Order: sequence, then structure tokens, then C-alpha cells
Amino acid sequence: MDCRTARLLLDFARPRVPELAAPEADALHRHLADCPDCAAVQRLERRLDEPLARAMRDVPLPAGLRERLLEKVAAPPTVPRWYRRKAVWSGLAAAVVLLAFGWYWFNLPLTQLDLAALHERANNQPVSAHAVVEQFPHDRLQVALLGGLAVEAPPRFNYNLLTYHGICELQGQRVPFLEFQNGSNLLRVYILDGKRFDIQALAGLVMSGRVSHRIELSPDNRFGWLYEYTGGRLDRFFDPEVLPAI
Amino acid sequence: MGLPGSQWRIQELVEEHYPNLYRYAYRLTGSAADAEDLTQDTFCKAQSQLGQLRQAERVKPWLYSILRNAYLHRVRSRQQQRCVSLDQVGDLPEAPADPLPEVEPERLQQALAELDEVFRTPVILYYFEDFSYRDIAEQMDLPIGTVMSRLARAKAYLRSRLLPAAPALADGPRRATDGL
Ligand SMILES: [Zn+2]
Repeated sequence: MDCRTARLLLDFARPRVPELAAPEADALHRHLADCPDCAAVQRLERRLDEPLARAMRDVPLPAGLRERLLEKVAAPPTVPRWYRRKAVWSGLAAAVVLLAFGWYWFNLPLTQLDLAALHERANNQPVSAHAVVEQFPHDRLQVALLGGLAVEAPPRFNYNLLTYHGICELQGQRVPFLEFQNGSNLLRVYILDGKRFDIQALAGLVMSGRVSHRIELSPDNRFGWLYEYTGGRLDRFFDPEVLPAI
Repeated sequence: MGLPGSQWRIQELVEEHYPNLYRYAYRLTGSAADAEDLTQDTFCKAQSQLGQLRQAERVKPWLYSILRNAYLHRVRSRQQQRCVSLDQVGDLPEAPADPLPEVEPERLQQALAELDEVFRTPVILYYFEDFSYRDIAEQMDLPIGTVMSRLARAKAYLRSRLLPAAPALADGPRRATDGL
């Protein structure tokens, strides 16, 4: 491990919240044992952090706080009788509004993704990735709801290369994404919900460049996977045990 | 009918989490009264939404994000924001004093109040030492690179304000950024 990588990983090696996978933690440990410069940076960081951490946690609790909180959650919410009558009418009115809204929602026009604009923007920006956070078993992601949004993760990728997952904004919509890194090459997979995006219109589209784009539909056509990747090849991110079909 | 399950669980949640949630609320607001109100709001909201919690092990970040949302809601309605620009973080002098002096919690609170919420929240969560970068990023719905760069700037600000004898760290390669 070089000093550059070590300094990046130092942030993820806090004593109380270790975030590094075992092989990285071991490699960092070995580097620190051999490199006085990086070891000094780590010691100094910890020395500077300690007094701040102590002061941050030094907040006295007000007397009786626990009892007041317990009392608050134990008391059933009191609803006056006039309010209950009003609540029935409000409830009916709300149901009508909900029905109308539901109808509107159901018939909401699908977002048309402007892939050409996305492609152009991605090719005019510096490319960078997130640091490795955690490795996920694929099945844990596939069933996940990210930020309340439905997610179906594409099965063919090597999830040991996954460096990040989160939500981003894509043309005005919150969209879950996964990020993979293999050497200097990056892949970001945006998971487009077919209920919100017109994925059929984009299926199979490919745009090549320094950053390339490609869209694939999930087998049940419920999701579109928008791949954004560098290096011109998607197969370097595939799981060697899953047969590539793209 | 006995005590409903959600009731029983909310009391457990209060017992387990109220001290740190209160401390977090206090560091966000700088006021004991506001911190207590926020803690109370958090548990009331949690009580009504307990059914939406899918994974039991995510309960802590869930409570913290309820609290932060309640805080942001109040701040927006009060429109009280006075913040310093972190571009003007001063350079730190050289040699560190040995040992470093203790930081007075009140001075820390003043320095935190000078930070914009987008810097204040990650630095509080970071120094509470209970949250990973990934947790903080999820809390704030931000890419991890953004969280790390905000955190680095907020830490530098607090150090320059509160540890005036602290040395500037040799800033090796700095973190990944967000955005592809
Ligand atoms: Zn080194």
C-alpha cells in the first residue's frame, strides 16, 4: 500500500467505528507499522480529535428528562369529542382527495429521460469515485428499499466491486444508484423505476464516449438499469460466475 | 388488552436512546429547552411511525434522522441562519502544545453555532463516534465524498477556533469527490 492510499483509508479506520474490510485494515496496519510519516499523521489526527470528541459529548442531561419523555410517550393522545366529530368529516374529505390524487398519480405521465443531455454532461465533467465503504452481498441489496424507493439491483455485476450506493437526483427525480470501481474504471448504475420513467422508450440504447451510457431492462420490465461507465467496457464489472448476456 | 407492542417498544427506545439524542439535539440547537422539545418530538414521531421501521438494527440512524428533520423544519420556519464562510478558515500555527488543552463545551457550542447546518450535522455525528461515514451520508442523503469534504472543512474550522496551538496536518492526498 502506498502513502496516498493509506492517508485516504486513515479516515475509515477510527477506533470506535471501523469501516474497512479486514484485508484493507490489515494492509493499512502493515503500512503504518513501516511508515513513520503516515503513523505520525494518524497519531496527530487522533490527538486533535480527542479533546473535541470529549467536549462534543459533554452535555449534561436535565433533571427529570427521562421521566418526562416516558410520560409523554405513555400518554395516549387525547382527542376532544368535538374534534372526533370533525375528524370523521375531515377523514371523509381526505378520502375523496386521496382517491382523486391516486387517480392522478396512477395516470401521471412518465418522465422522459433525456439521455443525450445526460451523456453530454457526463463527458464534460471530471470523473471521480467514492472511497470504498463496505462490501455487500448482492441479495442484501436486491431486496433493499433505498430511501423509500423500490430497488431491483442488476444481477450480473460483481458486488465485491461495489463502492457506494445511495440516492441522487436525475432530471428532477430521486433515483437510487449503485457505484462500482474496478481499477481506475467506474460504473454507476441508476435504477429507474418503470412506474416513474418511460424506460420502454430507452431500452437497448447505447451512447459511447469517455463516459458511456447504456440502458437495459430488468427481466420483468419493471426497472430500467441505466449504466454510466468509463473505459468503454461493461464486462470488466461482471461477476465472473454469472454469464454475461449484454 | 395489555400494553400494545408499539407502546412497549417506544418505551424501550426512549430508555436506550434519549441521552444521546438529547445531546445531539443540544449540539444542533445550543439550547436546553429546544433540545428537550426536539427529543420529545422525535419520540412522538417515532411512536407514530414505528410500523414503518423495517430493520430493527437501523433504529438508531432512523431516530437521528427524525430528529434532524424536525430540527430542519424548525430552522426553516424560523429562518435563523447566521453562518461563517468556511473558505475563510485560517491557517493553523505550527508546533502543537503538549498536552493539548481541554476544549470548553460552551466554546465548542459557540463555534458550532457559527457553522452552517450542512457542516454542523456531520461534524457532530462524527465526534459522537457512533456513526460511520456511510451512516452520516445516509442520514444526510448525500454522496459519501461530499460528506467527507464537508467534514474535513468543519473539523479544520473547529480546530482553528478551539485548538489554536494545533498544527496544520500535512494534507496528503485528499478525499474522493462526488459526482461522476
Ligand atoms: Zn505512508
